[in-house]
Amino acid sequence: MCAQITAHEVKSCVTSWDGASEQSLEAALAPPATQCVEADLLDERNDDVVFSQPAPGHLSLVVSTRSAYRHSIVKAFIAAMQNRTSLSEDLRIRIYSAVQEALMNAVLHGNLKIDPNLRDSLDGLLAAHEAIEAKLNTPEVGRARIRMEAIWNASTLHVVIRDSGDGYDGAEERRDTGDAASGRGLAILQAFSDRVAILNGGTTVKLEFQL
Amino acid sequence: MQIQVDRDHALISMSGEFTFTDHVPFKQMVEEVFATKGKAVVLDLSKLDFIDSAGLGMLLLARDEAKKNDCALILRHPSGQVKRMFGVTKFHTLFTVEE
Repeated sequence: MCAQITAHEVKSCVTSWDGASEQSLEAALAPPATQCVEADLLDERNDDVVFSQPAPGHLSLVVSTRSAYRHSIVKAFIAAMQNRTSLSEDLRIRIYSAVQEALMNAVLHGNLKIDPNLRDSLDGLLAAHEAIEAKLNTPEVGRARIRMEAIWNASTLHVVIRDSGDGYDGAEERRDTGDAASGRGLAILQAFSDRVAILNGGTTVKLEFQL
Repeated sequence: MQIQVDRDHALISMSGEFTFTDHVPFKQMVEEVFATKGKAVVLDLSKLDFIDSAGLGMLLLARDEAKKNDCALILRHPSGQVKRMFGVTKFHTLFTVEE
């Protein structure tokens, strides 16, 4: 169901997602949706709904941290992109790989604030997942927002991923990963996208792809 | 992500997507690596459609755990996105990868 919201001469199509499954998310993202917000996050103020002229190619999604962790959000978002613009298989793989990395960082480090060094050992990894499950059960963390937005024209696609965290100190970023189990995320973003920008103190990643 | 184990041939087949939420099948995979007899265990990746950096990290942890038990872990037939991810992260320098 699509709520047609009209403000002045602007129209956008806002849908809600029940948070139940990847399949229901694909349905909520199907055309003519331009904005999709997880139902549990919709409130009376509709802060996540943007009453502005949508770009010719535009799709946004707002989900909870809990849902971003438990469902294949990126897979559904990429499928929605394929319904709106023709992506070659090569481009689909690149977008999926880069956006998945950005989302994982937003969820694990942005909103859940999981120590990346924990995942460098088997015991640490299992401890990290126990800590994650405990945090997801708290409303302030479980419902913390993750925002994804795709904007495209004939030549360029931008995908923006934003978390609700505090950002990070770029100096802390691990450059030489060696064979460490974690720390490859930024290199993957740079390898699979045409341009990467880290914005808003590290809470926002903007990826650019040439179509 | 799903795994299928052939202990007689020291072969573990992975399929689907291997991402940061797959710690449960990962733990199962590590346990199977320990249970499999022999000096080398092969992970058949031919049906694995997608891997992210968390999945790569878990493969490294599986390798480290295998080494502790005097086993080698071999990655076989990565394809598509998985092969591209291995190339970007130079996984061939960290594992024995059979094309």
